[in-house]
Amino acid sequence: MLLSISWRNIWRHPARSGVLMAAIIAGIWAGILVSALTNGWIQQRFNNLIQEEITHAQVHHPEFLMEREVSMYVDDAHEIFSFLNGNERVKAYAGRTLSDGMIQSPLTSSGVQIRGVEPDRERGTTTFHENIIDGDYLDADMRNPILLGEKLTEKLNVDIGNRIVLTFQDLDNELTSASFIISGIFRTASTPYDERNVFVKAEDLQELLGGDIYHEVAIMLHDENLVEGLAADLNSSFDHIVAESWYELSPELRYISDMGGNLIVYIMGVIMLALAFGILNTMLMAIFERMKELGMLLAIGMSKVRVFLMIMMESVILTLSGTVVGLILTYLTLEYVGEKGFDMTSMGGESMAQFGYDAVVYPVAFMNDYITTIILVVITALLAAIYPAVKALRLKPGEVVRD
Amino acid sequence: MAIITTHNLSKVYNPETVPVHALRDVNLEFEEGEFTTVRGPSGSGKTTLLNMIGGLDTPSSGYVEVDGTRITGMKDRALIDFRLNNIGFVFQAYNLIPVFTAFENVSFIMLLQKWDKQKMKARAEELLTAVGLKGKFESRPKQLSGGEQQRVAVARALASQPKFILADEPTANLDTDSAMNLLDMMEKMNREENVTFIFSTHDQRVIDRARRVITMVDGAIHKDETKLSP
Amino acid sequence: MYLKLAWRNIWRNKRRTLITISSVMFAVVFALFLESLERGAHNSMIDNMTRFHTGYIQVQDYRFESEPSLDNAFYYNDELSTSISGSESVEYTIPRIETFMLAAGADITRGAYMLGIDVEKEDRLNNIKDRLTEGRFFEPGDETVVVSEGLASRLELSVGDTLALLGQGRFGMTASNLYEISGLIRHPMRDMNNQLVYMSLPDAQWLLSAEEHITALLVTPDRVRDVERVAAELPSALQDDELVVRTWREMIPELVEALEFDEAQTQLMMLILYVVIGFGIFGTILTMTLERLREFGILLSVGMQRLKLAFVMFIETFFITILGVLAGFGLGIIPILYFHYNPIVLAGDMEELVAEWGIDPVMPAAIAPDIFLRQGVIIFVLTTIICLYPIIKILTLKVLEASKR
Repeated sequence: MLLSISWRNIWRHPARSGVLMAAIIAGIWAGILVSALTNGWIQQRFNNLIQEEITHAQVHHPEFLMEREVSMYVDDAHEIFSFLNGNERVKAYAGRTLSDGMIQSPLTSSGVQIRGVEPDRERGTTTFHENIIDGDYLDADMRNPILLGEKLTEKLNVDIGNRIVLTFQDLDNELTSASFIISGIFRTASTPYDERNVFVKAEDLQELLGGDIYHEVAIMLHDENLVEGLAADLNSSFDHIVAESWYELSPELRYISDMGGNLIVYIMGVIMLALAFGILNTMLMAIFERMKELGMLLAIGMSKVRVFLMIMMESVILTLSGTVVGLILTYLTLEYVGEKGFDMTSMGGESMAQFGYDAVVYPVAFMNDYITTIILVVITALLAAIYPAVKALRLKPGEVVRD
Repeated sequence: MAIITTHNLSKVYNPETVPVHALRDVNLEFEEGEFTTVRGPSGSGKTTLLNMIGGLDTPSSGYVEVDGTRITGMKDRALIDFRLNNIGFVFQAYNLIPVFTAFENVSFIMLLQKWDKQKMKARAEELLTAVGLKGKFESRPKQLSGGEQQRVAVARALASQPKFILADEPTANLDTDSAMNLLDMMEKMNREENVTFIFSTHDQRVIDRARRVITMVDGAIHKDETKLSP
Repeated sequence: MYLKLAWRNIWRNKRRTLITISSVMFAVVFALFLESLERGAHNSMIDNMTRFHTGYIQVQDYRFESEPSLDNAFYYNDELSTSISGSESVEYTIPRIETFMLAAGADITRGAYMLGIDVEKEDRLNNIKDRLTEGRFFEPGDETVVVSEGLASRLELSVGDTLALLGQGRFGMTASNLYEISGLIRHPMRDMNNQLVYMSLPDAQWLLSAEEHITALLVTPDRVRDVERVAAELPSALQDDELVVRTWREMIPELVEALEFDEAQTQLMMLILYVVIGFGIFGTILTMTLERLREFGILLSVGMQRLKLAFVMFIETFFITILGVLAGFGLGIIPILYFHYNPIVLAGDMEELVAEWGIDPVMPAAIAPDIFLRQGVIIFVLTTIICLYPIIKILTLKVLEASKR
């Protein structure tokens, strides 16, 4: 009965309620869409990072990531390889030999991270080779081939086939230099990455460093969710190494994955705050013009609790009605846009490449986002109706009923 | 024994600035089965008196007893419950819930009293039929004439089986035919079912029908006459 | 007369007026707050990048942009400095020579950015002296260097130890020498902190066989907002075809683009909010109009011209909007001031992330008159458009119907 009185009260002013619902529909539609686009973006960035380089888990010397010393290589790398070979959770893995050094062209020099990879294994593990925009991957029949980022080739003013010199410290702490021939040029979504990383064959780098060593083992799993278990197994099976999941490895991935879940809360929170005022005003107006009627209800014996509940319910039902329409509309929009993706180039999407994001976005909305939205809407409706409802309870029935 | 007694009831509005004495030492008793009207020019205090008796307003001094219970000074929540179970109201205007049908308006008060659904339905139908609204159960207040709306209000007031009904200017907005019909109906209920009615009005049509007429002037009882027979 | 009627109408139903004013006010407060926060974050990013990285304006050799090599350094003397500093809006200039070299301690060798600087001048831009955590700064010619903390710890060096620098000087000359470390410094950008070596300008020029040459001359304008104007005026002061002027916008296009993108996102969010808030205000105006239809009908039936009534209505809504906007300014300044003096400090992963990009995690809200002006105008226009509704209603009202209501 209370429910029915609330519902009917809403429709006493179809225009006013309609306007508020329109505001709610617009807010929810736009809010979820923005959130879904950002989520889609994040998801793509996440996949890029995982699949191109970070992978699900990595093994290092415990201090390597902090110090990046050549001498901090993975002990017994080959035993780890055979462990991984025999592990059914593992889809693929690749060892990497890493060194920080200097790259020199005839024109100038720059600091780089040299990544020595095993071409076949790396191809099987990551999708980095898809970033080659010119030339070939490292398996060309070339002595000392090297891959450079597009940005770095511009800086050094070099091109495919040119020689460049890498200088770095070997295992004996002696400076060694060697010349490499540019076999390919890559472009990832991140310009700073392209400027700072070069790829060579692990065996070439190992020869120069003076040892069959690996600094990093990157592991892809069949099921990402098993990663913590695998890392734990590795850590207990081998000494002097540390195996970590992507969550521990990359603050960016951690931030992305944590933020992704809360994004809808931030965006809808802001929109709801704006909506709350609309709801508050609508409810206030609805109460003020009904003062006499509310007084009558109190006079004939409706308790204050019920009057309060009735107003709260009115606010919630009004808001929820708009929400339902908004959610359906959003769902249909996402269904439509979801397949084609959304091209952000015209809105400055290109520049996000700096931070490693793609320009074409496939929006992603989870069931959770819808549920969160509904919860936020109900909370907003309740909070916004408290003041009007309290206002109504201050009524003195005797004064109101007289006319 | 009287069902309503007022003891030295006084009400002063704006005691600090411009004191208005709405009631001065009113001592009255009402018996069960009365058909009484309180008359007087506007501002004479009749509506204030009814509000006091109905527990809608609190006196500055003195108190009201209903059926032996002192309602003056009762807690707000207790008072609302007391009103619900003991007093029926019919107002001049703003008397029905606009979004409810006639039937729902009458049922609503029984719903608040937590009646059994079947009984509630039966009683609402019975009451609406009794006030002459058979066939208009599903009409909303807007679709009813002023007289019909007041009939619904009377039916609703009766629904809770109150000890008495307070009607503040019930005929003020009605044309003569509707007013007469409404009064006929209420008189019949008073006669046949012993329902107590207390009106406040300056409508001569009501005053003519009342068996007891209390005249108020400037917040005090000026005259209290009981007619022997109508 | 109409003015008086309108003004009295407004206060006849205070509650209704206050509700309308408050919805406009809230819109202003909200829009102001959002934009001030965003502007503040951006200013803080720009400030970081320019002060600790490129400066606001640089004079470079025209070839340096595409080939950042010492070969493309340019001749620098006091005359050049004076001719630029003489320009009215220029506060001071800072010469720098920079190149990439290998830095070595006893065992370990690392890549490093070597910067030849004039400490006094540099200090005016970025308080470099305050960031010294140990030791002292070098004097020109004393062959000592200041090393960033991150690099020093990687090389396992501390104050008093010897650092070897090895690299390529001007025109392919070998550049190598040993230096005593006179001090350690902490650079706010993590990346920089791991690879910076500072040296006095003359020492660096000698090491790199680039006597009297620098790779960049930073120009600091009197007022930051004058950057573009100063940059446009500089070439005539230089009178040298081989020198070009670049602003931070050109030197760090990634930052500019990222800011633009962020702005586009915020604007999208703002747009959504304008729609949501606009509907809210419309709801209030709609109710107000419907409540007053009877009054309008009566006024029209007693002979008031529609246009005159519409005009009175227009003035009423105009007053209400102005009051709402002004109230919004008054209330809006409070959270902005609060977050200006109590900046939002990013924490956790977000802090790590922005530190990686070289951004200070402290984001104070900006206090900028143009934000007030713009948001005030936007909300004002929005509300004025919404207030066309009662005016249209008056112009099309059927008198008989309305007065019967």
